[in-house]
Amino acid sequence: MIRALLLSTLVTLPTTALAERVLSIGGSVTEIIYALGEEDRLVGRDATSTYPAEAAALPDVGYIRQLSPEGVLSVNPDLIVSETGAGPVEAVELLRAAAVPFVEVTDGYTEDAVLRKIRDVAAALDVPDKGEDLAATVSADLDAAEAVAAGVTPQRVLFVLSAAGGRITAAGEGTSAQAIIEMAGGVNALEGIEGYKQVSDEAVTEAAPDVILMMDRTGDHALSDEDLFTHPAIAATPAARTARVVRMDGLLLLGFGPRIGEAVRTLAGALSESAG
Amino acid sequence: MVALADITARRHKDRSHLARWVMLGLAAALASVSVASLFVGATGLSPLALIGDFLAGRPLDLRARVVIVDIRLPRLALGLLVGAALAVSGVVMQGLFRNPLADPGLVGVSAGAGLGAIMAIVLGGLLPPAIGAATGYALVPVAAFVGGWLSVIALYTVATRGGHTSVATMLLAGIALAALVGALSGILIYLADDAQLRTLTFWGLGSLAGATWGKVLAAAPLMLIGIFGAPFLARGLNGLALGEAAARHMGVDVQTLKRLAILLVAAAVGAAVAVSGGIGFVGIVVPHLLRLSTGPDHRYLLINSALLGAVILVLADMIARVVVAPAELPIGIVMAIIGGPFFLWILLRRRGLMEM
Amino acid sequence: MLTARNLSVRLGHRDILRDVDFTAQAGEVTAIVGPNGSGKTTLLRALTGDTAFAGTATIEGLNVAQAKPWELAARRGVLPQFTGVAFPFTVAEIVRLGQSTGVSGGAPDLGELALARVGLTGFGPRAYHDLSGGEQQRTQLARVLAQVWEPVGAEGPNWLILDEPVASLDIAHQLEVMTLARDFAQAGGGVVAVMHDLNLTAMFAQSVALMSGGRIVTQGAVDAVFTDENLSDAYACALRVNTAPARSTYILPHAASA
Repeated sequence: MIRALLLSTLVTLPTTALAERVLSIGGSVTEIIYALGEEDRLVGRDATSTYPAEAAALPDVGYIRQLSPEGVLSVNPDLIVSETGAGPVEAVELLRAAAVPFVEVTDGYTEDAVLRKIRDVAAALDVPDKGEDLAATVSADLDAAEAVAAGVTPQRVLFVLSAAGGRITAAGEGTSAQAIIEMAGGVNALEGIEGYKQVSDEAVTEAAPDVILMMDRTGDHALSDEDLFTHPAIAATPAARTARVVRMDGLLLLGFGPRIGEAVRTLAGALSESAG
Repeated sequence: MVALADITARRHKDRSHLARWVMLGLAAALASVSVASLFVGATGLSPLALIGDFLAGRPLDLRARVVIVDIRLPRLALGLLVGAALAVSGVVMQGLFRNPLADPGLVGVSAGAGLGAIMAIVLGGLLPPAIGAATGYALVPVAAFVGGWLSVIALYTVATRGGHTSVATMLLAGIALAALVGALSGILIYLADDAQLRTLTFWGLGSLAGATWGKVLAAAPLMLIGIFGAPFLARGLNGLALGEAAARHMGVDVQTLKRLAILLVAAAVGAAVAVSGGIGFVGIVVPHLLRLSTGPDHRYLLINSALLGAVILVLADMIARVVVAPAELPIGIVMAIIGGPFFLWILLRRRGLMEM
Repeated sequence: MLTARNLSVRLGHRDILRDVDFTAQAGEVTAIVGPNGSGKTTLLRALTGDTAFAGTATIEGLNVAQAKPWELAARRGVLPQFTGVAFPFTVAEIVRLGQSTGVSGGAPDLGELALARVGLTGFGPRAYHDLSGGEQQRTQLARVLAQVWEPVGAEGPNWLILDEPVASLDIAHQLEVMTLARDFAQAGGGVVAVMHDLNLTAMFAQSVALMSGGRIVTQGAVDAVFTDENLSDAYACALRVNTAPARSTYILPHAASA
């Protein structure tokens, strides 16, 4: 990342002009650019950039890991700011070959990581002061939210990514879901498993979650409360007995962008509310 | 393509003349499609402007140069090679197994290559950083190629006893190997993290989007061996259509034929899968269409399949990169969406010929 | 000349052929007869190099076990009992396979000529899979003929090796095919045919090898081999050999009870 930053600095230096055609790749990066008030400079976004709603009007260059080099070049960017993991590598190298500055900012699931990401994006856009301001605001907001969260009785939360086909994929350790659950004063119910994994029904029962956390989706993916709590794996958990499920927007919950404070406050609120 | 299907209505005239005309037509189509593909892309840049600048000695626009020379050209080259290699390999496999439904996957190349790719994607991060840096993005294609070859060698060894290779054993062993490879892949998929899973999914769908000159140059020799080597097997494969014994009676060295056929397919498909991921469909449909229109004589079928396979893949890639521009669809999806219904339509129209 | 010396074939623990000596001369139709399971087809498969064997087999001096497929193909064509065709070829294309895959390539297109010889004039453009079983078998014979078109080539006699060539044919086509075989032999070529029909054999063969239990019981001229005793022993049933009265129609029953 440092190399990427240096490289971009080297390339942008001779022009000295402010990048006026910015392509944002990654939902949290796009959110940060809007939060910085620099959205007028955006000329494109990736498929995961769905917030704020105005972003949808920008040309979509596809999925972050499957970028089409010519597609990216077609929006004629003079700066690309991306979350970690933009690919394929060949595409990124071609973009470098085309002398388009490419800045990759590091992701992370901590307050520091979010603030660093904000400062990095601001630096890439050459508005470091705005970045400091935004970082301070987000930090204060998050601190306040965490103070609220501290008052919530610790509960075991199971984040269910998907229950498609009756098989449950849930968040284990080291996941963004675990990070946000802990920030909101909860405990990840699923221990001893790394990452987002399909888990056996028994493991779910064994995890004994007090609350089920899911992403808020509509359409076919939406799982009704009834279906959820009668699922054999979940039926035997405390969460099913008390019918406690929290549904939140996925990008808000797991985005780790400028709305991190809101995410923590909302989740903590939902946890204490459903507890009461 | 539609014209081609119409021609099939008048089958059984002397089809070798027809086959030669189709060959000419396909060569012309290939040339036009290739040129057209250099003009089509999300940026709307035209190669003419670039050539004009070049001829006039003006400095070339960097962006235009990258788009035309480093993006569209290698992509075209890769599309031509992969399309021709997959179609030709399909013909060879169908001839070898004497079954129009055989595909290159039957000799284990695809399964092995898939496992190699998955291993590289999921376990690549565990390699010492020095090796990772040295291999770079070549890791996945190289692993896919090695995986493909290892499984072909394994199958060939299992199926060969006393200098005789049983294609039936190879087929059955291929099923066993596919099951084993599927299980190993499953384990790796379980270990994979979210990002790796996404990469795996897209790899499986196949794409020419990662085309670079490096990839083209690395994979081209192997695919060219398959494409230009296969026509030398045409007479032998024709004989094999009447069975191994009849082929031998007609003077075909059947064991050598099998060995060469498997080698060529392993080289061509291994390289094709390594650089483009899983692109299905071409290997079965292209030979089938041509057999319906110009007959099963391998002397024409192999060459025409190479041409038609290349045309179809380049066309599909052009569609893949413009329909959702500036993003793009994986080419496997385009092939299936357009090719699937078209193939069904042909089958319904020509059902009589299918009953053999 | 086509010869087999001390030919033995074992499959698993079973002896299919035991020390078979067999000779066929160019210029003659040599028939191999015998009951089911007597080893006729195995002998033929050894002579064509389709099965591994102990002993020696030669065709015009070529060692069958060592010669290259194309060397053998230049001297003999083989008509199997049944030929499965994998792809939708036309009749003409099948016949041309004999010519182009084999060794007579470069010669003018023999397809129509070969088809005429087997009574399939005009069948060339038809789909092979649409033909009746008998027509398919004659198409294959035409394909074999196209492979060794000249009964005598530059290097000596060529051979037709036929495994039950008339099995699926009606009586007219049986006679047509056997006449073709006899003509090939009379022109100096060699013909070896596994036969079931003893009457047709008696009509067309100059030499007969009678097999039983994996051995050749006796080989020689038809009159010498086809005796009541030889046939009854070999086929394990009572058979009587009759001679048709000259110049009269005579429908022969295949078996006579004692």
